[in-house]
This record gives sequence, structure tokens and C-alpha cells, in this order.
Amino acid sequence: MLSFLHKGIGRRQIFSLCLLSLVMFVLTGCWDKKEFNQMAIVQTLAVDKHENEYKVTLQLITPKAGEKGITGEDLWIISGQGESVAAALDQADLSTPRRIYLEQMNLILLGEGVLADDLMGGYRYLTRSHYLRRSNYVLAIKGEAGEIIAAKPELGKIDIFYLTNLIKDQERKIKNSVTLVNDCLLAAHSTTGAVFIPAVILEAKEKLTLDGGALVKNNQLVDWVDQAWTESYYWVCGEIKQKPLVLQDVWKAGDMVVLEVEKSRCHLVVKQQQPLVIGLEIEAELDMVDNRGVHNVADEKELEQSLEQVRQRAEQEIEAIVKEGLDKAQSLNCDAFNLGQWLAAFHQSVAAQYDWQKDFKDIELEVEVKTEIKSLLINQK
Amino acid sequence: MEQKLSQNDLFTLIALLCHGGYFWVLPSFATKENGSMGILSMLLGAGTGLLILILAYRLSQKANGQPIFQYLGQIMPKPLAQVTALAIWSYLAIFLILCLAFFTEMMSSRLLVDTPRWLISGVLLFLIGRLAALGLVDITRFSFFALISLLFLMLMLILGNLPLFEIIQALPLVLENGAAFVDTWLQVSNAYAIVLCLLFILPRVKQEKKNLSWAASALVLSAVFLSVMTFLAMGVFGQDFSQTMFWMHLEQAKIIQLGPYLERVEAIYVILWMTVIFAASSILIYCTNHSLAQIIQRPLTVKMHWLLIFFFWLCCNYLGNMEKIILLLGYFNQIFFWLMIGGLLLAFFFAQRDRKASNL
Repeated sequence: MLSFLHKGIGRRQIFSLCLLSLVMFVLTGCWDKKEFNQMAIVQTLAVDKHENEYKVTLQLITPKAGEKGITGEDLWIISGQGESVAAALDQADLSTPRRIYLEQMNLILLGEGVLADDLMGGYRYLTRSHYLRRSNYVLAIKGEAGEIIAAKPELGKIDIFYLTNLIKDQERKIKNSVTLVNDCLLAAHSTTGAVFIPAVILEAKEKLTLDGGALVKNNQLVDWVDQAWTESYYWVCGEIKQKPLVLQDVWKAGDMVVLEVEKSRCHLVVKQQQPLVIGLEIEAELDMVDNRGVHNVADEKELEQSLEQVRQRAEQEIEAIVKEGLDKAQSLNCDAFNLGQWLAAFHQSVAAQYDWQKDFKDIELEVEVKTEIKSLLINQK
Repeated sequence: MEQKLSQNDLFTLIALLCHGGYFWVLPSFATKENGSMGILSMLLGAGTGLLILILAYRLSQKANGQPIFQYLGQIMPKPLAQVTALAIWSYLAIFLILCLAFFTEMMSSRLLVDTPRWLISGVLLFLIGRLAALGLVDITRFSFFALISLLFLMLMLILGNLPLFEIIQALPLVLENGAAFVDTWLQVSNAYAIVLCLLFILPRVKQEKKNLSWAASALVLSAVFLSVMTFLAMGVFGQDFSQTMFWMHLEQAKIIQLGPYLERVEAIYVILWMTVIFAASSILIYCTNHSLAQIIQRPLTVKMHWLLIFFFWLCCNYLGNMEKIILLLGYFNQIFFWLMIGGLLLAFFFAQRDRKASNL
């Protein structure tokens, strides 16, 4: 059994034994391990700015040892102030005994002060560090961003990912409806320099609602827009997958038809080069989900006529929504629809003739809507 | 008798050689001044790599199974053969050091921030050195596993990045600065020139008809993979992405989301990528160490192998920050690449002359 002792142990075996013994110590765990219950995981970061002073508010998840899941009790809100976001985060770090872990952050709330002064200032530090993911969501806040987190912490008891889920739900219905850190960074380098950031408001201090947003150009807030404007933005930049469209007085006064947008897409075309006319061709597939008007028709011709009336009204309605949004953007000379970027990508020679950031307001935009109604709530006798 | 490698093995080795640590940062360099046109410069660079591959293949064919530097000693004047061999060796050694330094820098600055750099490079080199010491057959076995990882990584990146991809961000393709384009082309050529490792691999490969085609297709596949990834990065991060990020692959990995909840998977990505780095670096170490043994005309002993590993570890630690790495990269591009090209062309010229002489 111990025959190797008789044969003698070679230098090679001794070296291997020493190495194995050393490895045993290392294999018990990482020296830079970070225990889950020793971390303060940042879920949301709010950045505000007052007179050259940044304020950060962090919504932390601080799981306790032995807990099986994360509950509302684990939520903690801390804040810090400083001349930069880095300094403010450093100060916030002083008020928690746990290591602040920014890697899992999902959402950044930017207050009006940051938006009005320098959007990038709100997260430049984070982009240079390795914490930030470009797929993090960004929301604009009219007023103090920190208030959204701090004013109603009990919302977290319902769902700690309340805001994130609110955005994700919107994205489920309308593709490209969210704004990511990546979009803001892209806008900073794009031809248009503009980006739309959805806004969230705190209603009566107990309800958080997505409502309108901020138009930002060259990292500065241009104006706030309402929910109606965002509708036009979704028709042009998003792909609507599920959204109701209510049409009043379709056939006669008092009639109402509710159509659900199943699919939408906007194609851009250069209709004329000199002077430039850009066409926005919107195609939508609609389902009739409610009908408080014509239910029965005599023949196919009448059915076709009734349907045509609905289609025309739907197209007029969508056109009006989109035109209103475009007009507003042009009046602010803020191309949040990214038309300039599209022109630079596909019609470079045409784009070269314009200083898009100055000339956008004067460009003629033509909206054309084509709809297809897939299912009807009208019967043929 | 040493076991011979098949064409599949040759394909695996060449494909992985073109994915060493340096190739991680190549897209950043290529697109910095050129935007999307950087992808064209990358493809042209891969084209130059293809020419070097053909040159190395022909030279290796002429050597007819002999160690390449021994063959050069026969066809060239001795001092010239030594200088040529040294030029090729220094190219290989610096390329290896750069690959290791880039990888160590990425690990210590992004993932293992609290772990000392010397330890990261030490563990990395120990494992790679061990694999390289086992020989080309074992390296190939491991490389095959790494190649599967590479395909999985590619799939992960494409699927993970597509939701954020917008073609308008990657367009237009405009050549704004011709000089910068040429610079980038040369820099990419320099990276792909590493396929000259074929000089040391081919004598171990079974002599078959389509060896060159297999090696070339591995290079082309790698170039296509890198170009696709770069184009994807352009469409996601915009044409100016290299102004704001250096580790393109890592940023791409950060935005991968598996299902609705599994996110932040870059650690998994890097672990998989590590297998690729291990394989690529072990091939490089194998070629570098064997080429030095050929130069000094002695067999590669275990002691010499580990001594060289220790030397590479020291170099890797000396390049303790990005500034020093970029400085070495500058010398590499401006001096060592041209020395290697000069040496290779000279060797080819003498080999051609030798063939004509033997025909006469």
C-alpha cells in the first residue's frame, strides 16, 4: 500500500503535492467574493441638478441573509450630493454600510434640472465607468427625479420593479416606444442631435403614470410634449402592435367605432429633392373591436361603402395625429423623429445640402396613411 | 512518430489564431477614423492576410517538411537567414505579448477589478503554457472545443444585439480620410499576418491536396465573423461607437438579454471567450517557442519553454496600462510588421531562386 515510500518520492511528486496543497486554499472561494446579502443593489438611479450641484437618489435592494426572495421590506432609498454625479454617488455611498452595486441598474430618471442644463452630464460618468449598460431605460421627470423614488416608496411593496415594468409593458404594445441610454448617446452624435425621452409623472402622490415626454436637442431640453404628441411619435418611429383607435361620428352623429391597431409601420421616402419633400407612408392593419353604429347592411356593396367610410375616417384620424406631432417638432426645430439621420443614411447627397439642425423646420413633410381593416363587426343580411 | 493533424484540425487552428486578444480591439481601431468604412478596411486587411497565408504555405511546401528556419539556412546566406528568422520570431513574440496584454487589461479593468494584474496574467500564462507544452495535438483538441464556444458566442451576440440594431446608424458608407483608411488597412493586415504561424503548423499536417483551401477558408470565416460583429456594433452603437467604447465585444455582451429576466450575461460571455483566448494563445506560444528553438538550433526543452513563458509574463506585466500597450502596438505596426514582411518576402525570393537553380 505504501510502496511508493519504498520507491521514494521524486521531486516532481513533491512539487505537485505542494501545488495541490496551495490550490486547496484558493479553491474554497473567491477572495473578492461579494455576498448577495452584503450588497446594496441599485435598481433605479435618479439624477437631479440645482445650481451646479448634482443630487443622486438611489433605490436600493438590500436583501437580508437567509431570505428566499426580495420583498418590499428590502427596499432602501438613499441620496447624495456633489459637484458631479461621481461625487454625489460617493457621498451616497457614505450612508450605506453595504457596497453600492450599480451593475444591475435598470432605469435612470433624469430630473428637469439635468435635462435643462446638460443631459449627458447626468450619466457621462456612468458611461465612462463599466457599470452602465447601454440598454438601461431612461425616463424624464418634470421637476425632481428623486421625488419619484422618494415620495412613494410603498409602491415598491407592490412591485419593486414598478417603473421598469411600466415601460416594458408599453414596449410590449409599441415597439421602440422606450428610450435607452444608447438612444441618448446616439442622439449626441447624430445628424439631428435630438431624442425623445418619455416622462413619468406622480399623480396625487400615489400613482405613477407615463405621460408625454421631453424633447431634447444637443443634450438640452427643448420642450415638454404631451401624450398626444407621443402618439404621433409612435406612429412614425415605433411599430404599434396593440393600441385602440377611437373614431367618433363615423356614419352619423353619435356613432362610434373602436379599432385596434394590430400592426403599423412607417416608410420614409424622398418625394422631391429640390426643394426637399419627405413622404411618411404609414401602413396599418386594424381590427374592429367595438361598433356603436351600423351593424347590418343589405349587400356587399353597402358593406364595402360602410367599410370605406371607416377606413377613410381612420386614415384621416391617424394623419391628423401624425401631422400634429410633426408640426410641433418642426416648430421647435427638433427632429426627434430622426428623419435627418435616415436621410443621411440613405440619401447622402440630398442630406449634404442641408444643415439639418437648422433647416428641419423648413422641410416639407407629407403624410400618407394606408389602412387595412382585417376583422369587421358588420353583418351582411 | 508524431501524430499528424487533419485538414479539420488545420481549419480549427487557423480560425482560432484569428481570434486572439488583439482581435477584440481591432474593430475599435478600424472604425475610429473610418466609421463603417472601417469594415471594408478590415476585409481588405484580411485579404492581405490571405496573401501572407499563401506565401507561408508555398514556403512551407518548398521546405518539404523540414523546420522552416533550417530550410532558410540552406537557401540563404547564414547571417541573412538568422536575421530573417529573428524578424519573424520577434513579430510572433510581440503579437503574443500584445494579445495577452490586451486580454489581461480587459480582465483587470472590467471584470476582475480587485484581482492583481500579475495574478491574472500569471494564471492565464500558466494554463496556456501547460496546454502549449502538451503539444499541437492537445492544443487542437482544446481548440475544437473553443471553436464551438466561438460559434455559440457569435450566435449569442447576433441574437442579443439584433433587437437594438438599426441600419440607419451603420450607414452611410463614406470614405472621409484616405490616409486613415490606409493606416487601418495596414493595421488589420498586421493582425491577420499572424497566419504565418502556418509555417510552423503545416509540417505537422498530413500532406493533402486542399490544405491551403482549408486554411484560407478559416481565415475568411474569421474575417467575416469579425466584420459582421463590427457592423452589428455600428448598427447598435452608431458609427462613432469607438469614440466612447474600447471593448466592443464586452459592450455588445452587456446588452444581451436571455429571455425576459436573465441579463448581465457578459461574465458567461467572457468565460466562453476565455476558452477562445486560451486556444489562440497556446497556438501562438507553441509557434513562438518552437521558432526560437529552431533559431538557436536546439530542441525545445521543458525548462526553455517555461523560461520563455516567464519572459512573456514579465513583458505582459510591464505593459501595466493601456498607454504602454498602445505604445508597443505602435512600434509593432511601424517596425516589426515590416521587418516580418521583408523577411518573409526575402525568404520567398531565395526559395524561388533555389527552385530555379535546382531545375537547371
